[in-house]
Amino acid sequence: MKGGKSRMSTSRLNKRRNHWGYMFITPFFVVFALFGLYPIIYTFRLSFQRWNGFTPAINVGFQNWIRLMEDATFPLSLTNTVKIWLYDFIPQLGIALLLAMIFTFKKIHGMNLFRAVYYLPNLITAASIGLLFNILFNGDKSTINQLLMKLGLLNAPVAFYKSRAITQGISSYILWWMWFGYTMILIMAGITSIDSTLYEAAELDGCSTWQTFHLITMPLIRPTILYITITSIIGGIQIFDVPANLTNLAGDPQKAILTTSMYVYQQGFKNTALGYASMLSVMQFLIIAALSFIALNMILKRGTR
Amino acid sequence: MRSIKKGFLLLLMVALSSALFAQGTMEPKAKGPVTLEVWARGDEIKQFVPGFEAANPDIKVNVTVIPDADMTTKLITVFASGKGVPDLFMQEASYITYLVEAGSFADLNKDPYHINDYRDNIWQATLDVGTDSTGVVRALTWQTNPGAIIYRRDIAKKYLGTDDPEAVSKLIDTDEKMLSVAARMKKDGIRFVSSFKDIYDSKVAQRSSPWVINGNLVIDPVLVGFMDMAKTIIGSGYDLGVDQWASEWIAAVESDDLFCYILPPWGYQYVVKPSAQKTIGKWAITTPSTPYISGGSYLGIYDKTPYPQEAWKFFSYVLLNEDSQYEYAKNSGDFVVLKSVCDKLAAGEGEEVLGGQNPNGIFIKEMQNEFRKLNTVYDSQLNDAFISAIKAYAAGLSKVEAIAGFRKDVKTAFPEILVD
Repeated sequence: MKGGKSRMSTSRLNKRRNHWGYMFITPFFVVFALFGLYPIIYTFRLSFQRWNGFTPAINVGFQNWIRLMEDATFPLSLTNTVKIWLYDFIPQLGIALLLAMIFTFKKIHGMNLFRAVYYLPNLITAASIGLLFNILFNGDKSTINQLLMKLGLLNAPVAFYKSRAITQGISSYILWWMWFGYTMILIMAGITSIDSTLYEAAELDGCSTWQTFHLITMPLIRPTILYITITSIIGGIQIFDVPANLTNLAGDPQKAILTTSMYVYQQGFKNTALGYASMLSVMQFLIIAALSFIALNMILKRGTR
Repeated sequence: MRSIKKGFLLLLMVALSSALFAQGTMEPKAKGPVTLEVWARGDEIKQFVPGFEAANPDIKVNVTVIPDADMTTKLITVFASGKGVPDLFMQEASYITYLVEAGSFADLNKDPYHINDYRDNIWQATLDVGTDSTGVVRALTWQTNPGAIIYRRDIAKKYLGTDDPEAVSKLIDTDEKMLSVAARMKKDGIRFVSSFKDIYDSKVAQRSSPWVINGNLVIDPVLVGFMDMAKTIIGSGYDLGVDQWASEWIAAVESDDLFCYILPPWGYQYVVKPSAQKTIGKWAITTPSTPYISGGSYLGIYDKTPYPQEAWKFFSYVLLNEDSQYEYAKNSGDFVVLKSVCDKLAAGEGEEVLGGQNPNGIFIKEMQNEFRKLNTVYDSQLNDAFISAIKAYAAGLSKVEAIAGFRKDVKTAFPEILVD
């Protein structure tokens, strides 16, 4: 009897403990439901409505979706976004990997300083950086034009922001500059967690540096690379602050840096088509989900091969 | 354990009920000073606040400055929730029609508002901008904006042989004359105008029809013709090559290689006057060949404000009170909305930056012209899109392609407009 009673009280205690557990995690879920889940559901609902923000919303069924089929600007904004992201992400990962290797395997004087300096741009607000680069490159008397002319590298000032390619390039460069330090630190953390005995064994077996990197480091930091890729896709498809502040919200010149998020903003708050903008947001969400899924599969498949 | 549970439930109930009661406290208080919330597009309205509060000790005014680009976003958010809507809010002329037509502003001639008492003393063109399609006045600006050429006297003397405002105006009163002077100036590295957009604004006002008539897009021949002039200006470097309000655009006030800004009086007030230091006395103002009005900060009262009387008091202090308008104009160099105040200003002293010139007389003469009411709810976006088309044309696209691109952009932004 005694034993049975004690078993009962243990299970009751567990239940009570569970209650407390739920109670402790409740605040997060309440906040998430209010500020995360509800807006998502509301956006989805709005995507079937026409609403200008001032007069009551009207249900329009699939009209916004049909409108998307005829919209040439949305695919253009998507191409711009992917282009800007790719030109930022590929060099970002490459340079971060290289620097992480150097910093982990070679003892470099002042390494901590370099690491901090590389990370620093990530601490500045993206909008400020966009504005800063606007001032650096905009106009005949811009800082960069003056500098290049004083150094004798240019005879006449260059209208940087009138060239589509240069403007896109500057956007990618800014994003690369802002994020390669962060990526490098993540990769370094990944490399540090690898068991050092593996490297010792490789050295005894006579592996070259390339073989060590290719056969030990890379496979073992795959989860880190996966994390970086997926978070970068999520952030990359949503690029807004830097291009929006670099030239103007229209993504000048000739929509060269009009990203998907800028287009959503334009439709929502400049054209006050909040329903259509919500639909575009839903599309953006689906695209991010699909790309993340593809990236996840590609990296995991490689891992099992 | 049970007591802890009970305690927790009790706490939860207290928290919930206090949240319910908190709703009640949102209602306006009957006693104590009233605080009016004003959302403004710039700091200038703050100049009226100390004088107003001194004259009305029972009313406080809290001004929040919100940039143009964010104003609609913020307004939509508060309108959607119905909470925190300001008692008075402002927008720029090209955006104001949208708010005026949306019916968010009160009818300014319905009790307790009575703008009709002041009608004769207000410049008609400014009244028109804040009037909705049914003829109801819902917003008004304190600044009146006839187009002006703000130019450098020294450069005018060198290239036009005179710095006299009337003579200068005549020497550049056609597009051809402007381009020919610009070409001569460019040879010496001097830019004729701050931005092609300056001239675009004057062309927009010279159209014979608004952007949209009965749901159809109308691209006025004046604008199509201007595309070529703009291409020449951009291609030959007759302007600064940056957008209005870029740092280089403002800094050009103090440079020696810009001849003029073609802007309404606010261009003098916000751009030239505050930046001029070593160029004080070197500037002058004249008027362009074709009169036009452009821009202005329009103020309206929220139609559901809990403080209509107080809001009207502030509105009329800023816009309809001769003393406060005069004080404001004297300090800022702005040209105002009350005719009587403009007359008083024209009889006053000249501006130091303008070498002693008092431009108010010119502006008064300019305002005697008839101005077409061309504003639509689409103006701001359609003008931006057409500017993009002009830039695309200047960058190498054919005119047909650039205009086709513009039509496509309009269709994308506003599917309800018929573009063909």
